[in-house]
Amino acid sequence: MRKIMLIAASLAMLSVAPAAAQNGNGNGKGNGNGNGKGNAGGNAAIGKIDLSPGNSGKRGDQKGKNKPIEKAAKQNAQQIERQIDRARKDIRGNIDDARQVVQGNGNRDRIERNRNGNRIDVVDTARRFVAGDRTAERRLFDLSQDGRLRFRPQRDDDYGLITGCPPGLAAKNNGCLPPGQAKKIARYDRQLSQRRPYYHYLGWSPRYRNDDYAYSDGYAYRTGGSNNLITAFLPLVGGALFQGNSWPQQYAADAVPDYYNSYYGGGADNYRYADNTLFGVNPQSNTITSIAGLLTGNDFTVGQRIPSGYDMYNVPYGYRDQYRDDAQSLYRYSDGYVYQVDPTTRLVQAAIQLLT
Amino acid sequence: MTIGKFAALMSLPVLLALGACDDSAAEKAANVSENPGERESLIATLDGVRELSTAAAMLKQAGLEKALNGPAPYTLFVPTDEAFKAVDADTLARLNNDEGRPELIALLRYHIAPGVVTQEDLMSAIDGAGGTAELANVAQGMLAFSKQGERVAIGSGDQAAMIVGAPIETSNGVIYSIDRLIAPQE
Repeated sequence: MRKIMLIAASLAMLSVAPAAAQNGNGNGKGNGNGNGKGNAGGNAAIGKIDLSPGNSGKRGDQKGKNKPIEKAAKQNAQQIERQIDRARKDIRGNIDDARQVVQGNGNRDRIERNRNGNRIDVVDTARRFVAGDRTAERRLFDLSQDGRLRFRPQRDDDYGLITGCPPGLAAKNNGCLPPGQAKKIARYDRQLSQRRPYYHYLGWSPRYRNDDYAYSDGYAYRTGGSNNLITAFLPLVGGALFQGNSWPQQYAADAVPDYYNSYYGGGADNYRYADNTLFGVNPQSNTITSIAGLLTGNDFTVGQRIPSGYDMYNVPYGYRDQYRDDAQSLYRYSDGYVYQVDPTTRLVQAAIQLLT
Repeated sequence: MTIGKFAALMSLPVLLALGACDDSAAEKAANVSENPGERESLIATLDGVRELSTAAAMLKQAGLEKALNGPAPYTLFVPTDEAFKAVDADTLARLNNDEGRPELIALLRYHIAPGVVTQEDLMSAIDGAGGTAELANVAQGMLAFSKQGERVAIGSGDQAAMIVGAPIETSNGVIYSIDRLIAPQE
């Protein structure tokens, strides 16, 4: 209920924004920054209504000369309360639409056709609030200057995590997690925890070694707060990230550089990256078609020391005559490239593409 | 259809399965072609090795066929069927259903390293590194190799897995048989 009220408040603030613009501040964008902090944007708009010269006299009036301002503020507050009441009545209908948008079930066009422009703003605002920052795509890799994938550190606490509610769990009365689902996740997690030494999945990665994480239905969930509600989720390789499923809309859909496509097998699919894995994705349907490659995620930087774990010569068969260890250089293979390394300093001298 | 034909058809999958796994790892390793281009891929090779059938099935369940059939090279450390007998039945069942697939992939990644590490490369690295050599796997982890008598251990102490027999070289990598699963690092 608290969440619904907050959504209602944020909707009301949004609807105030055009009025603020009309009053001459030209800056009433509500919470359009998409960060889910509906109140902040709305409050900023209110303040500008109160202090704008066209609304309440000169800015910076002395004490005792502020009565017009106070009166205007009171009128604005009453107006806002009325708008909140209207938004509250409307929110129950709109939240269902928002759920549909959050869950990505393709109903957004229907919403746009059925409602006026202002309503779409309302739906978008609800989506941002309910799902946190899910509207912002999450990039999982960068590119080095020579076009190689540069991996985000997976040991970062928030690696790959998508803030907000996972699909199917948005906008429930108690937050993201309906009671039945909470019990299910807790039960499954507890069962797994008892099965050492074959540690349950979440115990296998350092970033999950935290009681705040649970796992179910192909997602890892981060929970928090006194109610232990879901605060973020991670699509798992083999779960949500598996052939037949759609590429998560919250992850950037950038195809990896062509070199990786060619090296790891090519074909009609785009290759995308998540969690040290290359996925084949049908560019038309956005459906994952395969796990095309498994990567180490080790970053090799020319001029820097080679990562640990490369004591052994491991160059592919077809390149062994060309790149063989000698007194001047060592050669090591990783994630589609062969790296030339100084045997004394262990500094990477060159990154070599294997398709030339 | 006569009963005889029906019985023959019904037995076909069994015969095919037996036919697909009719070599031991030792026989496969001994009969490998000198020319990598004439060899089978990692997955196709695993399909033909009798004592690695459990791992072969798991790699398929994990959806790793394309990755391990492709041009990118990998070195696999594959637990034998005997090694999987040490895993309780419930865990195996969980790993082999869809709900457990993320867990299965996470586990298998510990057994996969990038590139081609031949037996000669492995022994040379252990000797050159003063007794223990490290190899990165695709689980953001590290495999530590050392000699224990005539054998090579992965890891140390009671949890160490031992390499069994000679490795099998394939068109896109190498397969080592090991006698237990590699436990993820704590």
